Parts: sequence; structure tokens; C-alpha cells
Amino acid sequence: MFPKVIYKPVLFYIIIFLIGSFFVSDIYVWGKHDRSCWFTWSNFISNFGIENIYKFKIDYPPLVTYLLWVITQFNPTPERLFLNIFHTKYIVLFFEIISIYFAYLVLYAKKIKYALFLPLLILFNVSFWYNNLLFGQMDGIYSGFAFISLALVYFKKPSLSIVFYVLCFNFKFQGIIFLPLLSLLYFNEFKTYTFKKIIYSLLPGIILQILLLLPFILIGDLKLAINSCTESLGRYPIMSMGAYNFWYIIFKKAHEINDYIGIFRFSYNSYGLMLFFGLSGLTLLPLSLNFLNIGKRYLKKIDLSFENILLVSILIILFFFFFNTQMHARYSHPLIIFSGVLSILKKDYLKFSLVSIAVFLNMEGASKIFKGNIVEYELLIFQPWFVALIFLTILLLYMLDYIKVIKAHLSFKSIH
Amino acid sequence: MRFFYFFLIIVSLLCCKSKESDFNPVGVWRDDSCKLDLEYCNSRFQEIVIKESPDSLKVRTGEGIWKNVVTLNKWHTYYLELENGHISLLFPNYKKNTLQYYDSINNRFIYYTKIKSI
Repeated sequence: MFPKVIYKPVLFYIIIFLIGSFFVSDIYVWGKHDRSCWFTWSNFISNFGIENIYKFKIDYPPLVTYLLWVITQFNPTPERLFLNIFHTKYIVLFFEIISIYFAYLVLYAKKIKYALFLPLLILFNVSFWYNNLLFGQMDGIYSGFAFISLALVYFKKPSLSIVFYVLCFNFKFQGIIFLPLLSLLYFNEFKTYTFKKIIYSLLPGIILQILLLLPFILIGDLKLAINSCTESLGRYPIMSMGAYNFWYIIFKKAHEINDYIGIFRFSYNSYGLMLFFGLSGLTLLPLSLNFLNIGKRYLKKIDLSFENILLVSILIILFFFFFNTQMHARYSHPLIIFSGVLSILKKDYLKFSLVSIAVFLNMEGASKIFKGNIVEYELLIFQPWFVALIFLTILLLYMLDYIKVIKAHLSFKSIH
Repeated sequence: MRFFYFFLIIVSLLCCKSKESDFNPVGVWRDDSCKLDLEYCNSRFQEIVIKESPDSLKVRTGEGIWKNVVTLNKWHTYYLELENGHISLLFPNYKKNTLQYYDSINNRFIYYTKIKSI
């Protein structure tokens, strides 16, 4: 099922990477806070190694520190590191292009015409490269790993898929939103495996996880590493950290409201979590029932096409971004590749266009890099409530698609 | 896959330095170009005083006047406002035990050595 490596497309995407590298520059979001993080952490790693980094109280998972370590190997002095820290963007771009290559593999396997060129609709999309090339963040890497992980399940490579999911989760904790869907897919795959084969399939992922944590285990800082990351949850108890989502439809200045306040004995934070978990659970319920062989009489076996897997993933990303409080604008980033590939597969570009517009408007509205100053936009299209309404439209359109899928599999046969 | 794990083990071991930080930024730092004589020094910030968890740094300007400069402080690093909205980072060189910032106006690094602990 997994397409053989074809050298021409690999060469094609290497050339695209080389061209893309010309656009890498030292541009960062206003305040350059992210740049300062990457630099100060790298400077520390360069002198005291990765294993001590959590004494520094950083709040990112371990794989990010490995990436920064790579940068320190090319920039051994603090001066060079300071001037060249933007080289992280080359690495992010590299992984983004790998994920685009996997998008090509999916399209190729599905025998889509122009499979080689169509993924460029995603890569050349401003909403896709804004996050790395302009904002200076690394969401492209974990989004790519999540996408590759799902693609590998589709290619019947669950063991390798687990490896990529481990990489995803160890790069950004937001990757955890893909865990329930992936777990269901792994469960479905492993149902026919012997116990020994299941262990062999899980082993590479487990070994990888141990190896990634090895420096911290050896020095006795594992607990510190886990705490540093879990304590970062709820650090900024604000309704929105820049995400133009549900809360901007309700409150004009969501970025100024503490999310621990609320109504009817629940905080807004809890409402956000309840909506996210509730809607995600409902979305995953038909698949769970299918895999557990429950309610076969009413729900036929759902086609586990890559389109349906992408559709469920998109809904989960949207629920996470749209309803949760404390969300950053860039947390919608995984939407672009998932929605882009789905649109190419279904030849339905409306939703992808809306996703691209909404993600770009939110990123630019919150960071104002093209604007050139930090004064708020007055244009209607950049107003948080307006962008939030576009996201709501996208959410409803995808939900409608999913309801259609489920409806097509419902059967109310008479019990008699 | 075997090569991948071998590579990862090598990286995991290579990146370990088993050395803990004893760098302490708290103290009085002097611009290296001023050497011992502040009289003839025309540096932007001749001396910088860093206290425990500061939200501001005390700096001695080129005119010899002491003033407080608002900063953001995290991970041994301090935001430093230069002229015309240029903002730089005052950061450590852990090996040399110095502080430095990049003067983006004149494209050069300015180095500080600790002359007194507080």
C-alpha cells in the first residue's frame, strides 16, 4: 500500500526546499519573544547540554530542545547563535516540506491527477508559511508529524505511525488532540494482530520515547521535565491569547477577560473544555462503536477512507481551537495541511479557501507583521468577531459533511 | 530503523554535557571598552546594575547619569532598549562569564564584565 520512494518527486521537493530557503530571514513577530526564547534556550544548551535545560524552567517538550541543539552545533559561540538563531526556520521548512511530500504520497496512492503539483497549493499558501517564515514559530513541525502519522495508518504502517506520533507529541503538547483518533485507528489495526505482533508494533515508539527522554532520565530531571511542561497549562488564564474564536463572538475583548470567571458555577475555561471534549467525543463515537462492534444493527461499517480520517481530524482541530480558552492564533495551524489535502481529494476548494483566509486573517490580525506596526487593525476583515464567524462557518460546513457521512451509514432495520 | 535508533543514541549522548550553571547575573557590570577609566568612556551604557528578579535595570549612561531602564527578565536575559525603538537582548556568555548585547545600530556586540557582586 505504501508507495515506493520515487526519486523524481523527492528531487522536485528538494528543489522546492532550496527555493524556499531563499525566503528564510530574521523576521519575527513584534517583540521577538519567540526569537528570544529560541536564542536563550540554545545559548544555555550550548554550554550545559540538553539534559539541564529543564532547570531553566522552559515549557516546551523535549524534541524542541534537540532541534535547538542542532542549531548550536553550527553556531558554537553566543554571538553567532544570536545572529543566526533564525536558522531554526530552515529546519521547520524542511519538515514542512516532508509533510507536503507525504501529502503527495497520499494523492499519488489515490491516483489523483497532478498529484505532484497540487500539494503546492498548500505549501505556497500564505497561511501555511506565515507561521514559520514570518512569525518564527514551529507549529509546522508537529502539524506535519501528526499528518504523517495519520497518513501512515492509512498506508497500513501502524508501527511507523506511532513513531511519528511520538515525535509529534514530543514536539508540542497540542499534538495530544490527535491521540484519541489515532488510538482508535491503531485499535482497529491491531484487532487482527497476535499479542506478539502488537508488542513488536508498539516497541519502536516506546524505545523512541525513552531515547528522547534519556538525557533527562540520566541526570534525574525527568520529573522536572514533566512538571515544567504540565505546569505551563493555565499559565495565561485569559479567554483568548490571540485566537479569534468562539469567545470573541460572545465577548468583544476576550483577550482582557480572565477565563477562571464564569456563569452558573462553571468557569469559561470549563465551558470551553466541556465543548471541546463533548463535541470531540460525539465525533469519535460512531468510529468507536464501529470498531467495538456495538450497534451494528443501526450503524453500518464506516468507510475508513483517508478522506473520512481527515474530516474527523479537522473537526477535532476546530473544536480544540474554536472552543477552548487560552488559545493562541497559531493553534489553528494544523488545519491548513489537513484541510488542503482533503480539499484536493474531494475537489472541493471552498472550505480550504475559507480555512486559508481565516487562518491568515487571524495570524496577521494578532501579529500585524505585514501591517508594520502594532496598532490594531480597523479593517472589518481583521476584526476578531468577523474572523471568528468565518471559523464558525468552516466548523458548521465540516460538521455538515460529517453528519452526511454518518447519515449514509445509519440503518434503522426493523427488529422483527 | 536500526540506524535511526543508533543515531538517536549518539545524539542523546553527545548533547549531554553534565555541567550545571553557576552563572549569576546579579551584580554590577562594566562595559569592557571603558576598562578602568569611566571618565573617557563614551559607551551607551557604561555600567549596568542587575538586582534579584528586576523589572528594571539601573544603567549609567554615556553622560555619566544613572537611570532606571524598564526590562523584561527571563532565563538570564534582559531586554534593553537602545535608541529609536531598537531593542536588544543583554545575554550571558557562560564560558567567559560576561554579559553582552548586540548593538543593532552600529552592528557590533558590546561586552560587560562583572566588577562587583551585590
